[in-house]
Amino acid sequence: MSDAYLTIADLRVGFASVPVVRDVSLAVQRGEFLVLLGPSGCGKSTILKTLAGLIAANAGTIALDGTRLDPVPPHRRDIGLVFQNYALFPHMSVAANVRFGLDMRGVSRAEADSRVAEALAMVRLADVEYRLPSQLSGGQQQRVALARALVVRPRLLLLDEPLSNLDAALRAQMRFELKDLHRRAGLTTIMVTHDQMEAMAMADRIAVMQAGAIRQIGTPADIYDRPGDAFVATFVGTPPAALLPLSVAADGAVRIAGLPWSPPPAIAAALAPGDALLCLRPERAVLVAPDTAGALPARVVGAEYFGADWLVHVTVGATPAIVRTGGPAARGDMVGVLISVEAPLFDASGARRIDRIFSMS
Amino acid sequence: MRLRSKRAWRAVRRAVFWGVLGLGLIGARPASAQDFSGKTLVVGVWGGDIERLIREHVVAALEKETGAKVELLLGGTGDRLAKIYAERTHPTMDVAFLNIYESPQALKDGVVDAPDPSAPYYKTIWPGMNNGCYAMSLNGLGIAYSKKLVTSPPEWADMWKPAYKGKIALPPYPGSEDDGVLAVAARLAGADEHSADKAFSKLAELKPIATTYTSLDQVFGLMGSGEVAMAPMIGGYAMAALKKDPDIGFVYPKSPGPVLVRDMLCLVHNSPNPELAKKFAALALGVELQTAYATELYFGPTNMNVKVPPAMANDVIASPEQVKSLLTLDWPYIITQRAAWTDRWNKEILGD
Amino acid sequence: MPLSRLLPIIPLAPACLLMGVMFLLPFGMVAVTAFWGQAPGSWLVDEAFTTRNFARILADPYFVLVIGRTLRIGVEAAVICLLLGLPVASVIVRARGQVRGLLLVLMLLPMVCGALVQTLGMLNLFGLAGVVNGALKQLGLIDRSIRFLGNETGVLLGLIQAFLPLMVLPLVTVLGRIPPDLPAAAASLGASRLRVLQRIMLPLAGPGIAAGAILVFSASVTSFVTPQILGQGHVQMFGPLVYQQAALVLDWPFASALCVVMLAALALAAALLAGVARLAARPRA
Repeated sequence: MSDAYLTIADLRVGFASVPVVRDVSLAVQRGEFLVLLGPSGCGKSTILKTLAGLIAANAGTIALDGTRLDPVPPHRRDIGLVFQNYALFPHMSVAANVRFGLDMRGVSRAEADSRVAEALAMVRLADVEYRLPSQLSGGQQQRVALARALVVRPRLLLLDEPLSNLDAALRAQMRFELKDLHRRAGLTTIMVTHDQMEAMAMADRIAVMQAGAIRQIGTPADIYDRPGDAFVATFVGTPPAALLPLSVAADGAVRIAGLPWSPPPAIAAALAPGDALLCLRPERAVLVAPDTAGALPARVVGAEYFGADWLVHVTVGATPAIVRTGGPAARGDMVGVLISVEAPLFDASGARRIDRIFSMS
Repeated sequence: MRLRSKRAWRAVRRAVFWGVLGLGLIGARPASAQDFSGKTLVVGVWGGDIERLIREHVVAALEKETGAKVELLLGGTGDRLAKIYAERTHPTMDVAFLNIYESPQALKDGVVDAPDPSAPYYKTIWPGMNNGCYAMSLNGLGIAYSKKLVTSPPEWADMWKPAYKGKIALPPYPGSEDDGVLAVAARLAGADEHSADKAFSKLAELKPIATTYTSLDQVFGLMGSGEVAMAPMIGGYAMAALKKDPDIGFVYPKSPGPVLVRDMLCLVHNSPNPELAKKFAALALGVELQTAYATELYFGPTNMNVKVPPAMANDVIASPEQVKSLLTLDWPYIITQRAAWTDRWNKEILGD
Repeated sequence: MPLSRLLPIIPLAPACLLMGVMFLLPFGMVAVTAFWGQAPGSWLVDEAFTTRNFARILADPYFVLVIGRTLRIGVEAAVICLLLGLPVASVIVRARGQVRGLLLVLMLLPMVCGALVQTLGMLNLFGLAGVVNGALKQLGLIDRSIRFLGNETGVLLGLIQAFLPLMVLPLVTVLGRIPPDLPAAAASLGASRLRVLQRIMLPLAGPGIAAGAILVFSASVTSFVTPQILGQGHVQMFGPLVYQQAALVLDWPFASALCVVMLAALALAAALLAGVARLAARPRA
């Protein structure tokens, strides 16, 4: 931890007795792109604003590049922050917005001119520098905000839901551009989002947050394939994974979602008596004939066509689940769901992954 | 018998016919030879106690007697003068109460009618009081004083004593109080109101004026706290107010005597209801309202027939001797000086 | 269609009519009357054209002094109201929901009472026989009342007290419309609190500052009750002067001329203030 570029230790932020951020610790490497992912109200934006110095922490320490950051007032932190609504200064032109941070630092006129031009070129906005923010499209405003944060060469770049105000097409494009920009500028970046696809696509590592705490930190693959708990398993992935209650009786009889199930012998051998939750990802299962050995008994309740594939909605017992398939299925049909690759298993409360015991290969 | 009875029956019928007709006419026009119903008499007057007394003693009686309605337009004399001057070709106001310093000018400018010596109410008013319009009430400009600071009833000259420097309060100029004080100052300087230079330079010796007071309560409060020693004041108002406050005194000085000021009742020239206006004047100048003015407001009656209760004799100007002791100023001259004196007052009395 | 084009204007008609009848017409009459006079020894208006009133105003240092003092006090009131109003408005803007409503009501309460009640309140507090002097005397600190009122400071205090809401309300409106992220963004870019105020808040609040300043200034220079009562005759201002000339001296033409001169001075001052505000709020290239 001590060799990390940014270190957050036991950070607690909150209003009165209701902590918004509960004892969060986090280490970020130089040049890393870290995404804080979580549902709204989970405290991710609060961490960002605390890093920028806009909110004071109640406890804990923040260190950047070896020096304590928390006693430094916001305007001396040298941290670039891009707001969700961009927070462009409406009374200043694009160029003046970008130049603002340089003015505050007393950068010479000639140097400021070239750096503003350079920053605008980097976000491909050189032709609109004399317009007011209100005359720009959402995507352009977003890029101005980015240029404004980048031009001061911050020690840390913070992005607060930077793509959430853009339409779907623009969001996909900006997602790629942002990642590309990060690659070129090499800035240590922390981005906040509630969109797990955005997180997966852009992050070097993702920190999944819930209720003010970090549930799991890892690479996108870690988070997706090896979720630390049921919350992370269901929050990451589209459509979301289903959690099927699994119980093994003392005599070895297995029930899934209340229905008797004869798992394949290899799996049955690995089970021990007790209760658990089985995580069923739509992409990690296939539909088979109902009498297929080892398949979960399911009933089709509907199917959605997406061109490349189908999402078949089924119920296992009373528990709904989704399977991504190559073809349709008729409503009302009884089918089998074969878990085709590794699937995580959680303890009955969902708080902890207990083991990866199912292995079909 | 039959024929007689028939004739008698006819006589009865005729009597009933005329009787009913007569009763109907009486019912339609009660106790009045002339019909004023549907007419509205407009009277411009001050609000407050004066308005209340006029409603109680004049308006009610006049409306009952004539069937007309009386509308009181409340305000200061400036409002009324502005109205009757602006409307002088087509007046809507019938009666206007003015100050003594305004009525001669109003008459001169032809916006009010001259008092009619043949009117019965003219003759009951003290001789020589009807200047420009009919005299409504007599009042004297005297001195209200703080009994804490001024141990015995003061004379005009006492206001200039060094002990009271900066402790004299005056009302805003122009007004009859300040004109009266200027005239007194002129007399103390051996001249009269025609010598404005002497008046102003004498009065300027009182500077700094403690305050320009806009309400009696305000100046009495300042007397109570010892910040104001004396303030020239119209007797009636002062008397009514200071009965509540034992620390405040009021005196009509003797050398010179108190300055005579008057409220005047004016009949607007070419008014829409001249007959009603005269009936209003008769009631307003009559014994009933004048007595109420004296007993409730300490305003001296102009009607010679009013008997002021003996207990109030010292406070209300009512006897010929009292009237004679009052200092009468050349109001028509003073009014011509108003604009010039206002400028001088602003600069020489209030300015630094 | 001419009718369909006229349609949106129709709802404006009552307001236009009211303004026309209640403001433009009387103002036109004032402007005309200002060039009339009075015959010597008469209060009758002489409708012959004359510039005598204006000559009298401009030739007499007294009237120029009163108008100048009135304008100066107006500017002082506007500036002090701005300095006092900015922190008040920021607190109100930052307050949440009910607290904000309560603060606004508290701010407005004095306005509901009207200038007269407020002025009499000031008199009771700071007058020669007022609460403050009474307390100081009780404590034995003074034996003669201190003259807080009856001078320019007293009048200025009264005007500020009466008209502060006229500054705070437009400020609350403009400050409320500034997203809180803007000062935060400026801070994250390295702007100190002072620079945030100077580069972000003040320029964005410019229209509100201009509106508030013009409101306080106009209300102050035309006020009557406050200078009349708190000035106690020692601080002559425009309102009482015109009242004196119109209602007491009954020289309406001269009072009208005073109004015309004042309006000309006001228009000049308002244009100047607006220009300064626009300069301050000018977009930076």
